[in-house]
Amino acid sequence: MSELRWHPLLGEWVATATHRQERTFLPPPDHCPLDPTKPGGFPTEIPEPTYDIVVFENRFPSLRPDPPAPAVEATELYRVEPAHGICEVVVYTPNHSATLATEPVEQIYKLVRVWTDRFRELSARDFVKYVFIFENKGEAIGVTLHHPHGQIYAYPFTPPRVARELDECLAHQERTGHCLVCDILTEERRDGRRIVAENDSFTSYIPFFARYPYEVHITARRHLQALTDMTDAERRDLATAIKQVIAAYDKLFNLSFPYMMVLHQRPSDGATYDHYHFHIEFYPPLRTATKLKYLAGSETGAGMFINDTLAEEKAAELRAHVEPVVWKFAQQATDDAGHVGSATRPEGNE
Amino acid sequence: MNSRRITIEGNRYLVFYTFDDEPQLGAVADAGAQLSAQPNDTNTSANAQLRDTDPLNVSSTDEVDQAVAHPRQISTDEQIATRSKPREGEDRIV
Repeated sequence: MSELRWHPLLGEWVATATHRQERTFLPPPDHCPLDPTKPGGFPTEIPEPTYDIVVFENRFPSLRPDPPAPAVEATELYRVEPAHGICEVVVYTPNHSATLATEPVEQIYKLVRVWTDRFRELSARDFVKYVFIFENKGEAIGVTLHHPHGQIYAYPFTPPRVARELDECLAHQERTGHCLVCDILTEERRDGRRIVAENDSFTSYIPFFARYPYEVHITARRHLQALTDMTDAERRDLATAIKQVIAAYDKLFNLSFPYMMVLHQRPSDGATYDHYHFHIEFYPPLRTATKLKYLAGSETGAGMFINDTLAEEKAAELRAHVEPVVWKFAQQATDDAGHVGSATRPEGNE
Repeated sequence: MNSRRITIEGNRYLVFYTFDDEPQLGAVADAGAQLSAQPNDTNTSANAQLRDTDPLNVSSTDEVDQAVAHPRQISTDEQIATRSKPREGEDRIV
């Protein structure tokens, strides 16, 4: 049973999805539902092995294209709506034991193109107002399946966290005539201490206002609002930027680093959002190799984050683990095309 | 050739993406390189001109399975055809 219940105190929707209590929880590696089905083996979610990346509708969705009627009746105070939307799973690779960080940058480039296609496809549905692409990685985040995968939620509204960013960006634009995220990027690049990595199209940094110790933002250097605004060179540069950040994460404590990765793009409701700016945010829960950053009373009950660290110091730590990303096809692409695009040369930390 | 193949299982769809990757580094890459020299460019008309049509180049290879590749597949494009808004880029200069 799933439905949307209105939270009148916060002015936002809460989804109930009681069927999700029954979803598969940390199965043994030989019974992973995200592996390709093996001949004679148990049927998994993916009935064939021939793919680079596969996307499918979540078997336990909190939002559905054809949602059931709500189980309870609405009142004037307590609004209830069907849980309309789409929940997709994006399986990054057939390789069960991989992570996105261990995959070659070419596979991340494929993923960026799949994200772009899903954003385009889901945005075209008339009931979809916001396409939210994200990954939860690691048991510390609450992941129930270890096979490398991400998710996409297509919401029937702009979710409140993004709506708040949009409001701030619009207010800044009206006040200054500038894009807020462009101004943040300019400030971060001018200061430089919090920069983790950079290439022609993207800058990765732990922002001045980071709420998590290793919270990295990857921001497009050109003012654009969505994956579909990018050139192919920018998509390759985005793959490089992601690879550098998550590979550095793993090296930081010599462990597979847990994180939430979220893509912030413009809504898909048909309105104009030139005041917004595409970026990716990472929220890793670790503050040391063995200690978690809990969202406790102040963070959860008051909405004020307390960061036990300084972004300048954490960025320096992370920057020390950033390594160049070498594209395997760089030489051949040069030979085929007669020139090299901006993302085909090995990328390093400047 | 990159491809996207869609199958339906029960009332859910799967989309299989395969890439034959030696990326084309043609005019689009050149344009990106030129723009990258102008970070924080707020000229959105330049953005509009650079919005490409399809990152996968799948339009000619998009397939919907006809229930032959796997016994659980059902031949239909009913879910995929429900979109009513134009796909991004369809109405833009490329």
